[in-house]
Amino acid sequence: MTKSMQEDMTLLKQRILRMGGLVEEATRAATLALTQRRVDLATRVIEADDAIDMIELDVDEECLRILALHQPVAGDLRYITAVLKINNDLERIGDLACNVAERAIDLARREPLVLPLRFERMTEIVRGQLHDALDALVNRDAGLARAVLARDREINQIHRQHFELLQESMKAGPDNVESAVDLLSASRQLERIGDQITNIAEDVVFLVEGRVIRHARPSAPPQPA
Amino acid sequence: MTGFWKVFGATALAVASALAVSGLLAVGVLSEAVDRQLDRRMRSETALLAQAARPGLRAGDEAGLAELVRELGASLDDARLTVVAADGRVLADSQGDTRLMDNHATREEILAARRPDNAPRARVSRTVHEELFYFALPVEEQGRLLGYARMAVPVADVREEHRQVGRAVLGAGALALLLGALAAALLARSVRRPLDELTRYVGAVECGAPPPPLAHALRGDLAGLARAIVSMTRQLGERYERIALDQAEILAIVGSMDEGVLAVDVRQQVTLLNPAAARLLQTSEAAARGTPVWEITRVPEITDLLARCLRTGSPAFLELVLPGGPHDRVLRLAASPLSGGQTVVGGVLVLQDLTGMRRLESVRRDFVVNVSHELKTPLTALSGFLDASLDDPDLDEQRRLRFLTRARDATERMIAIVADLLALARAESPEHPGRESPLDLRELTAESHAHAADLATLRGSPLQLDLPGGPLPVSGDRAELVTAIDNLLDNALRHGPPGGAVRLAALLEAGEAVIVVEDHGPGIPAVEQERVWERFYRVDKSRSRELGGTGLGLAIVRNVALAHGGRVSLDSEVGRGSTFRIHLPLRPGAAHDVSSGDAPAVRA
Repeated sequence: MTKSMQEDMTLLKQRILRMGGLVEEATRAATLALTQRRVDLATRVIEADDAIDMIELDVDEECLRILALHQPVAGDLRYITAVLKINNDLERIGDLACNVAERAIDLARREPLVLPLRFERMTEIVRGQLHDALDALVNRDAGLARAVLARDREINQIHRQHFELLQESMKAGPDNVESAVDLLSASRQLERIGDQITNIAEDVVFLVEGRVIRHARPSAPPQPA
Repeated sequence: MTGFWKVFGATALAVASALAVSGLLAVGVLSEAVDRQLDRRMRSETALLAQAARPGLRAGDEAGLAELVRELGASLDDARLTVVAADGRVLADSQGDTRLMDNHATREEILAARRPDNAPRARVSRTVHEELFYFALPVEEQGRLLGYARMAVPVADVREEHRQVGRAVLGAGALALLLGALAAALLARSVRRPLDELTRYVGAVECGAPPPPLAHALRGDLAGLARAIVSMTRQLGERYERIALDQAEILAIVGSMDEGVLAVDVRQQVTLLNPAAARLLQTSEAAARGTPVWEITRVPEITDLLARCLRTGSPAFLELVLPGGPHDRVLRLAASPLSGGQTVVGGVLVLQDLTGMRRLESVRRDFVVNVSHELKTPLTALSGFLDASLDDPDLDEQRRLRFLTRARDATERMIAIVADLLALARAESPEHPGRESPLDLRELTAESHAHAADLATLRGSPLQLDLPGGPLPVSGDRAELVTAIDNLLDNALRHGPPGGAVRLAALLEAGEAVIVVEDHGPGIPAVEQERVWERFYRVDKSRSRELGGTGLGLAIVRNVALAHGGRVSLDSEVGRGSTFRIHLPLRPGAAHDVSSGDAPAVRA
């Protein structure tokens, strides 16, 4: 590897981790905005989304530049392609976090629904998953990445429970419908964030082991519509 | 040792070549001397023979001549002496028989005898068949040739002498060479040994090993250099030790700091990270060292701050609020550049956790606001009712009575708040002699249960009391502890739904005396659970005051528990209810009185 390429790769690593940091923060703030009914955090998330989009473009451009300029092979090529995909996944998580934040703002304006919803547990898993997935990327730790994959099942389970509870609540009274729809939407966004994080974890496994494990996992439990 | 051989070889070669040249010269000179001596001897001895043979030749006395050459020949070692007549006839010879000898007139030496270039010359003798040096001189008397005197010496003898000279020179040369080699070896050693010693010394210093002692380098030509090296080594060692000591001191100071300290080089790779920084950034010292800072923390504000500081070369500050948990974490970051001369060589980031401080500040601020607010509400009411009573002198008795009753209620409420504030202040005062009284927690619990009976009846809530069979000995202030239990019960009865069951229990759990108050109220959200113990903190802001609470009850409970060396805990789930606990240490020395936790409980 030439020196200039090494420098470019270091810069790329720095950028993708910065991207990861911003998305991690957005996710944390959005989930806290949801569970603690904090509008200030939610607005912060929505404002920060532009910065995330900018860096996504930056990282994409940098990847293409390295591909064109240095024509990397083997491990480096795998790294660049993994970063391209992870970049895309992170940007999507940023968007989803924005959606969660928007729902959080709407919800904070209304009386809370008293239901045994498990948003705290759900957001805790999502935050932990994202943190571990990015740690796995930093440390090229395929084991940690696989552990991230394993945790997605609980999120799907919680989402299904939420779906059932909120459905019941909507049937019970028309007053609940608005809040319930928002809560259901937030739950679905979180579930999707979880899916995106598993994509990142899969990319990390590909990056470290050179093996594609996408679509090879036992199929996830059926999703509620 | 190649150095030794180099010096030795060069010196020995010089000695050997000098010896070779001088040896060759000596052999030449000595051989010439031998030849000259032979020449002189032959001339003088032949002249002697000529002198001695003159009378015999003059007389023609052959027998006398024969006698002469025999006598002279015997005294002149191997020399062969011959007397030849002028016509070439051999008259006498010291080694050969004259009768067998032919005429010698044509012999080279006889022919050369009267020539000016007459000199000894070598020729093979026809008589004795041996290579001999011959020399002849004419014997003359008054210009008349009487005959010739001839002398011969074996060439072998002369050669032998030459060889002896050669051998002597060679022997002397060999001895000289030996001595020269010895001298060369000594010289080589005296040059190399100090150098080798210094090399080993410097090598040892370079590796950080203790240097070997210098024996030879400190003497002789290199002594100055050796002394300089030794003193330099010692000074370097002292300086290094001082630096290491300083560094250890700095590391110890940095390591024990409450503030997190993180140092990076220009490429933002971590060079130092103290335990506080590792804790704040949730990493470990070992993992962080040498890795870029953006791999350690992904909080963009932190990496941006450091990057800006390194780029501009000027300090940068930031107060960072990380949302999470029951309280936002507040970090104060200060990044300073490390400059080496004109350029920035790295940066130091100091992280200060202000969460606790900010929380204390907000608690204190809230307290003042809350006290003022809590007192202002009843004061406004009181003032209003009094104004209304005063303004209207024709107020009917019934309304006046109602106003005064409301004014009294407001006053009572203020008294309650002030009483609670005093109780809180008392519980907060660390030293209080009354807290040493031996008490049985069962009695206090039963007392509280009795106090709450009226309110429970009013709310229609069944109030259950569970007490253990044996005593629960604790030390404490009876009034304070009863107030604490009262407050918990009051809370449970007021906040629970009307008719909701409340359970009060005292029990022994994990070596502690525990008061348990369990309700089936609305429960407290997890994020608020820690804050309910704060003064004037209300989970449900609007409802609590209607229920008549001062907002100080739980703060008093917690402070009483802490003042008694105990603690409080809370389990609560929204929709299920809450369980408040006061944990108190058992009275020391009273442990044997305590019934085990398994003892059957007496239900009151």
